[in-house]
Amino acid sequence: MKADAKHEAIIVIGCPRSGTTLLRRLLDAHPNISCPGETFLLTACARFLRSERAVDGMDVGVLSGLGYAGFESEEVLGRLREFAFAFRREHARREGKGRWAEKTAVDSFHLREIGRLCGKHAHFICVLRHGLDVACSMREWCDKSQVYLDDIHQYVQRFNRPLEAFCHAWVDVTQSIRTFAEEHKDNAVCLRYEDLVSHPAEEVRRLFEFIGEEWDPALLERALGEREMKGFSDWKTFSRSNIDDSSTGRWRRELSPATIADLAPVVNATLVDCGYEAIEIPDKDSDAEARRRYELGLLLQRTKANTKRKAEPER
Amino acid sequence: MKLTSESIREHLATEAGAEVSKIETTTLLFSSGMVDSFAMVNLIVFVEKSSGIKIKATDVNLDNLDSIDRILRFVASRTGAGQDPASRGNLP
Repeated sequence: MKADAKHEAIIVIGCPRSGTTLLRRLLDAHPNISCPGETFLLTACARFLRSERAVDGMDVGVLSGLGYAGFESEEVLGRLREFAFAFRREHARREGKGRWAEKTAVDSFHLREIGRLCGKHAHFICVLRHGLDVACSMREWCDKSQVYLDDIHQYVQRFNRPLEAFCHAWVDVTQSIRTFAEEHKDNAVCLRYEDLVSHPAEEVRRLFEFIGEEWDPALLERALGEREMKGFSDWKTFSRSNIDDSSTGRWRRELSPATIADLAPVVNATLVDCGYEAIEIPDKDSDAEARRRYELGLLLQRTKANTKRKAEPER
Repeated sequence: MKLTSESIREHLATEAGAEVSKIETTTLLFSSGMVDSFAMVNLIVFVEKSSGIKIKATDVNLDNLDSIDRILRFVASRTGAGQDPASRGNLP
């Protein structure tokens, strides 16, 4: 499918840790598209627009507030959109490019407001990825960054096991992306991370066709050859020089059967909605088995420590 | 379930995501980093369930558990069972 109108703006939407940075690099490698690191522009706009429902169903927020001062919602939205788009337009022009793409992963937590602001004024590329792979990657990212970004922290406050929190975040964001894509059929296209990394040329060609740009097979190599990190971004993707599917199915290697048994019920319905197979729920360990695993884990650590000690030269 | 080199390989492939083609019966699993602590615990539980033995704390070491051959040899010594034919003559 090809979008009817050609918008200057291309907006990438995907749950954090879904491969949106890889996609950003691919878009930025196109001679007519500028896609720098995360700007948080649209998340900031979404926060500006956020309102609360008060008694009698009235929205209390900037749109209704300014409405009472005589500014129509469409006018406020138009001014805010122009405020945000102007930064990106100017940046693209500085780079000698005609169009720009915006990719800030946490935008996916604010789709209601972003849809209201940009719904008819941009192409949207919606990225989906397997929920447990997202959860594993999010755990790694949060461990290394030593922070839960605000939108994710809200889930961590609700669920005391981080992986469960990440899975709930994934379910909510993914359902929201699917609804968004359905509501913006004419200017939104979906792709799955797993398809992107297993068939990058076909998938990227399909995307460029959708946004009305020419496809150049040399683009993949050019994208991965670019090592300069521009702004906020995922550091991991820049260590890669080719696209491969080594991160696909990492949950099978990283999660224990007991953890999978806990998480599968959270993600299964959404996985199936997205075309993934439901995860078979493994039998949970009995208390005795769980204790045995713990005991074996300690024994292994002892073995590891002994081996290391033997390998070290005596002082 | 009988413990064989093939059943261990299959377990490593499905539970630890290991590439079966890279696993010889003499390949070092834990000390080489091919199998992490987490997957190693799963492997030991699998060995215990498949062979019906409970491995003593003093037996949890690399000499007994760091390769398919070592595992089969160790289990055979505990159960008195014969060695897996697939690994005969191939001890490290």
